[in-house]
Amino acid sequence: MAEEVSSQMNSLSISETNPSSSATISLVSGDDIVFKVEPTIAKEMETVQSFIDETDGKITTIPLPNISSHDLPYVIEYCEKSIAGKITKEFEAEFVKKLNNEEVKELFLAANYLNIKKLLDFLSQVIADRIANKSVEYVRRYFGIENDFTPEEEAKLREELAWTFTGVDPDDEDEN
Amino acid sequence: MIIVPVTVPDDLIAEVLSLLKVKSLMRFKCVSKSWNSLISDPFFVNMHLIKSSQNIPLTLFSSHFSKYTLLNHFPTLRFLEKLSITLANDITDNRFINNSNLLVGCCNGLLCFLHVSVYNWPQECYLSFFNPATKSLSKKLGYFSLPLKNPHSCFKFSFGYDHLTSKYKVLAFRLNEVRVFTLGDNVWRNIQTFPVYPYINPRNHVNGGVYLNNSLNWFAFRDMTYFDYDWEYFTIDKFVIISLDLGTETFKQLMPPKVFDEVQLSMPTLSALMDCLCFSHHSNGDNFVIWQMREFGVEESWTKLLKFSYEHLLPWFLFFRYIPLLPLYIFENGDALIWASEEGYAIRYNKRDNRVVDKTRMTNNLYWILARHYAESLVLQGLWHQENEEELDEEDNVGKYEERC
Repeated sequence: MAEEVSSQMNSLSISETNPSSSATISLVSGDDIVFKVEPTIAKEMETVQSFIDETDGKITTIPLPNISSHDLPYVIEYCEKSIAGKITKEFEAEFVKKLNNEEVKELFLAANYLNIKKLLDFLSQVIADRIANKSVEYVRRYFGIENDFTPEEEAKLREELAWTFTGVDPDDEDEN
Repeated sequence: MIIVPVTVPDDLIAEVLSLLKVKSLMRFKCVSKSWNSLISDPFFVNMHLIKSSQNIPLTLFSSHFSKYTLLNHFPTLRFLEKLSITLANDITDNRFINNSNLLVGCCNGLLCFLHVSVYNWPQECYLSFFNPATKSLSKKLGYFSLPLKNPHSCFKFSFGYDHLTSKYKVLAFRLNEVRVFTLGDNVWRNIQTFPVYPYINPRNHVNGGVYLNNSLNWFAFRDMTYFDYDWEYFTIDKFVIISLDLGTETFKQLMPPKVFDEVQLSMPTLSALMDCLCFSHHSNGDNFVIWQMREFGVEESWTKLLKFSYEHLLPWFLFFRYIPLLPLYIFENGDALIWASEEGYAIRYNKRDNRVVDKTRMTNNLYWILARHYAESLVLQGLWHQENEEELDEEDNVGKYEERC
């Protein structure tokens, strides 16, 4: 898999013909859309930066097959704010307000893939907040988890843990 | 565009779950078999504990009565927002009734109690461990009898976690005897004795031992056991801090700051603040001083952290000088919360103005005598069930320790 990626990158870097654009980094989303970003943005993405470092900066076009063109702008926006030192509670609240549950999960995986610690920690907290006081059924739907308990096993466990089922938020109608 | 629901891998799910409160996590054991085992897994329990400990701790209060103990906790930060606080609900439950319980200590969200039977002679004692967040209570462990005929036989108890063996340990210390109880092994063992005398005052719970840096630390005395702090009989050179490393089970003696040179009306206190051992005492001219041992175990590293005058408080605190003050928390900006244990007040010290700016009163008509840091955890979540099963065949011999006196 790693070899495949690197050979793909080599072919892409060979196709890079304009030397003056070497200052910017081209990030190619899974659906083949190119996003040009400053090298400082790439530095925030450890995975991208290590690709660049490994090739002594010769490669400036990085394919990101796991990340869609829908998600990448969010990641870039967060990194830009982070570099500018403008990650505030207000910005984070606005940033996450636009995102539905599926999008939050996609970005979470993207942050993990790109190894952006701050974004990963932030989104962990967002997901934790979204499920914190929810029902077991809600959480199963949220993560797409199949209930593999037998009805007897589940009933027994629920009985033992009956005290944890008080004060649970009602499930949202509009989950996504 | 991705149409199938996004699947979050297990390691990232663990990352998210480690941020949740214990009650939610206990409920989410019902999500699936893999979540149930994840939430019980020691690796995850530890990961959650590390995250939980990074928050500003809750303050745990306890109040002892002859037949029961009341416990409650409160977010430390909220002391800054309110002038009076009422702790409404007791977090213990009916499993504690009919025993005289003393809170020995609190570590990683786990509470250790010493139970003393009121009616038997000699007094039968045992330990139990309670996690208020998971509502898990251990069975009765480490039975022994406590003869009160000789006051010198009184033990000083303390509780902590040993990172070396990953076990919880209870320490009982008196002159010429030091015993360690290890949770899991469930027996008392004798270890090397300390060449000092414990400070035992059943009414003074402030100096119950401080857990820090994998060690337990107490005040002790060089010449005799004191049951009461009588400043007229003390001299400074009698004070010593005894520090027991829970891993090696070896002790060392630490001297208080050299500048601490005069016995005051009230006993000094030891506490753990900002991950350092701190020594606090009243000082001449109605002052209160906190010293911080910057480098653990190094006497030369005692540094004065703060000193303030409470002279302007004296009208409403006539006996202030007699009250042991226990620092609860020091915030990043240097502000401090200090607990006046016998009065039910937390006083707020403002670093910028170097003075006490306000006080928060506990309004319950209860005598909250002890305050400690507490962070909820998943530690020992299943103990109650497992131990009950074990109890069937081991009831008579677990942890039995015969008193030799």
